[in-house]
Amino acid sequence: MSFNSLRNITLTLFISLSFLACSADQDENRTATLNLEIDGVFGSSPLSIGSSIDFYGTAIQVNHARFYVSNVVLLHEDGTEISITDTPLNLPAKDGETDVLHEVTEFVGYLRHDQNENKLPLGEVPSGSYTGLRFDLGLRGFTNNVDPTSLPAGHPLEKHADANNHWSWNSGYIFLRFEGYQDLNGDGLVENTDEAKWWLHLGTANMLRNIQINDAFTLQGDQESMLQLLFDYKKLLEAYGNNLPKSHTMNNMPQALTGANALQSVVEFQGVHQN
Amino acid sequence: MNSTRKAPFINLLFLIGLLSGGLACKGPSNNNQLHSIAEVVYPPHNPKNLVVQKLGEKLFFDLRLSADGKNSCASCHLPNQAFTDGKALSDGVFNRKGFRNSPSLLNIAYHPRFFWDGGAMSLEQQVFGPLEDENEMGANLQDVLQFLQNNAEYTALFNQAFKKQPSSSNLAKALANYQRSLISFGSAFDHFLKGDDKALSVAAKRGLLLFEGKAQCANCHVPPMLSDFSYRHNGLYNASESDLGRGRVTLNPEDNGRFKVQPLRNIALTAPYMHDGRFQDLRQVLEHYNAGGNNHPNKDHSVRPLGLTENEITDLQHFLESLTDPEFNQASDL
Repeated sequence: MSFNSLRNITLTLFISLSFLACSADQDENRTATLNLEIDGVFGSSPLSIGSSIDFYGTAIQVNHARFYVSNVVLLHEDGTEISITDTPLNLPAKDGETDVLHEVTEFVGYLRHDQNENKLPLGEVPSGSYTGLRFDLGLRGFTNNVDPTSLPAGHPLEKHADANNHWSWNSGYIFLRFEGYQDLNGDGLVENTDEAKWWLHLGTANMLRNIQINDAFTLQGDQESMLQLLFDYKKLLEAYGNNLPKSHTMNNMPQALTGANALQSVVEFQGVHQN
Repeated sequence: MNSTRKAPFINLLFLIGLLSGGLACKGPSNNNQLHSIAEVVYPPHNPKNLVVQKLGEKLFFDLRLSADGKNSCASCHLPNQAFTDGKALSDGVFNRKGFRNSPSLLNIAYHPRFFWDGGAMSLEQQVFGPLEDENEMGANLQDVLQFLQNNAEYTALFNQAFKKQPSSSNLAKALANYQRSLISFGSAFDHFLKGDDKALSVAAKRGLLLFEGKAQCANCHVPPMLSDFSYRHNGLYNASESDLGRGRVTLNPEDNGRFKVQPLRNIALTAPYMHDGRFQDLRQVLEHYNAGGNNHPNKDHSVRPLGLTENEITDLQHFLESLTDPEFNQASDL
């Protein structure tokens, strides 16, 4: 799902390690239109939703696979960092017991692989060569604290109806929701029962992870590019060995931490291609 | 919008003077200062609106929102029981038992956070808790919205209220708007605070002095809201219990066993008491506090043996009974 809005470029200078002489390269002052594509896979196959998948001899089924991406930062080879921002939104939030207004300026995307949604428009960025990027899998700071009923319709942070993206008994968003069923009795068929259900719902500040991609890529000026990553859900489950997770974070912090700590390893850079 | 809801400070000496008549009477205008309750604050994204409120009222009483079609919000929050249900733990869908005792919704607008553990930060967010909890209304939000969107009456009402079709956001706003309208400040104690010296019986006045003094109640049940909305261990929780209270939300072990200090208006109507409804009547509650509760590292320092006599406990009970508002009547005629 994408939230249609005007994307602004924010050129954020953190460290300038070297000053490059002004180049006669015509690309230098041109921008590229960039999209982020994160494909959900299960090992070497595309992630299949609702159908049986073999997981080390056990039949499992995935029903929901979705997560939040925010604070995307592109790392230019000249040392500058390009933060992807969005039209600022002032949203009600809570600071302790005090009602406050929090300005959300960072780009927030909600990828729902169970709905075949795997692309996020990042907008116009400087063309040129990059050494990598980083992003949060989850929501940082007060953005995780805003009232989900205060968002405009269609916004990624809006309270979703099809599968809860926000805790109902606690405040805060579910950063990653990965759940399904399994074959418990060994007959090769997935059982859709409460006992057969497994789930990994990551949320709270402790489960926020910043994903670092240290692969170089180039963006051509005046072209639309797709930066492609893979998210391997099989690797996420492998972190749990023989036992599938049953964690809402609060009820089983160790299982939640296992999943959160595996996130860096399940994301893989595939490359950039022009549309 | 930056606001802090804090109860105005009550001058104890003036209150004692009022009761004993030992101080020069300063007149009703100063009594009104004691009863200065702030107006309900509505969030900018859900302003006070009678059309939205009426829609919320209809939703509040609608059994069809639940998974079994037999439970509504009102099933656990009955208007004629001060919006509680008289049960230790509420009955949910398919005869399942709820997790905690249903608190009163009267004056809920003044709470900074919601649920016994403060898990929800706004009334709008709070809506989805009981609606989706498998032991309460057990609803699938998508099914609820589909029902509302396919119901001609509701689509018309949502269009009238929001100029939009039913959505999770509008559903929450309607219910929250209705709940903010549930106000109750018509008790005998409230009339007393406004200057009616005859509103409280002699026994209730003695109880009020104990409430503010020897019994230490006002340490946590701070007038005029009769709560400071903090989370405290009141001598109930012990390590063998599974409900961690506030600790479930904060994951801080020091919050284990802490629950929200509930306001006390209409307390005589909201038995049984405590987060799990373990006390059947007010006498049991008062005897619990008089005894000092269980020892636990997180127990609030205010909770300790009080040395109250039986007559003093009775006076306290009279005072608590004076907190009943006979004027509220939010029973729906739908």
